[in-house]
Amino acid sequence: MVSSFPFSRSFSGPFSRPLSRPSAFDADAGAYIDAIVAAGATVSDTQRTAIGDFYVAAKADGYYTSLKRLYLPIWGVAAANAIDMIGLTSGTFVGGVTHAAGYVKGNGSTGYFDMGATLADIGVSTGSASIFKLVKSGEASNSYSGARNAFDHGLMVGTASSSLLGRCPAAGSQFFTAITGLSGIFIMTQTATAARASYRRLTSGFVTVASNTTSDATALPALKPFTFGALNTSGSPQFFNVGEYGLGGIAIGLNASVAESFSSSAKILWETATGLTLP
Amino acid sequence: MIGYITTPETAQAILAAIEAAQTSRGLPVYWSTGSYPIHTGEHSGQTFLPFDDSMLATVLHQGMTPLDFPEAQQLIAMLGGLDARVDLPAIAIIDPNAPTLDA
Repeated sequence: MVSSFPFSRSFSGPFSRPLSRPSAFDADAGAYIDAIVAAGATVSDTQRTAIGDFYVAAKADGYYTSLKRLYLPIWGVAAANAIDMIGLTSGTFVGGVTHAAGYVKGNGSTGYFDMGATLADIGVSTGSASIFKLVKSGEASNSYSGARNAFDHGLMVGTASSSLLGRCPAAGSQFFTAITGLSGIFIMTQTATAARASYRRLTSGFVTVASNTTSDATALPALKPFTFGALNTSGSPQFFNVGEYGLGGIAIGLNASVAESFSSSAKILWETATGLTLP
Repeated sequence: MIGYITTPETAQAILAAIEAAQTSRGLPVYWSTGSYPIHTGEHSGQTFLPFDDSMLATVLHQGMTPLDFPEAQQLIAMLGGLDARVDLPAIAIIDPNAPTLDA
């Protein structure tokens, strides 16, 4: 006999229905989580959700395909920290690097992270290139990420003497801009041969630190950028640094709007996944 | 800096062995001690392999530290054991001819 009353949500058991179906978890997020768990990372439900939300936001905001290498070295395990969130490739931690909960830290003498691919390998070229890193704290003067060749051409971002340095591609068109404090998310971008900018996100907000339209079509070097801990100078590590880094990578040129959106999502991801707070 | 001073050839062999310990397990090369030419001081011309206690305590993969890999014990023995490590000033591996960065 069929009841004339519809099943209500107050019933328990097989006849109850949730208010709404949960959306499927992002496949790329799931693949990244599977990879870092296989490497030995422990991922909480909060972290899982934060990672999934980042992928969804990046795709919805249209910049996910611009990200070419993205590292979230918060897991306390070298193999997990070395895994790229975009392509699941692995870089190499070299020398003295501390793998703490929420960040990695160079020892200032031998430690750095080699992402293991040149800019050309990952489709980044003059006219459309970005390098970025999240500095939790501890950054000192002459702390650079990226690469430069014997002609001093490169893709770099870093801090020196209380200033933010950004270069893409030649020293003649680089930025060297005084900033207060050496923490935050730093992004150096070239979006056209004659357009480049450096950005910074803190908890207080997002700013364009410097920008110019100096025409510069110099080719980027065929080197493998070091994301954390040192600068790749013609194939050798230089300027070993001691900062605490929570995120970093390379992208196709992120303009101001995209850099603002990306850095906002990156901040949320890192803070939610670590319980730490961006300065 | 705590580690070993050795010849460039031995250093390359050590690095290759570290890489093989990872790739032979079907893993990418996610960790290395690295090797650093010694530019100044009494050991100039030799190569430095960092091997301090902090590095040896690094969790590499699935809870394992370098000392949990049998190959690491063999490599350390080749280099004379942990007591054969020396303390090298950091400045010794800084190339005095490396270009400065104009900022």
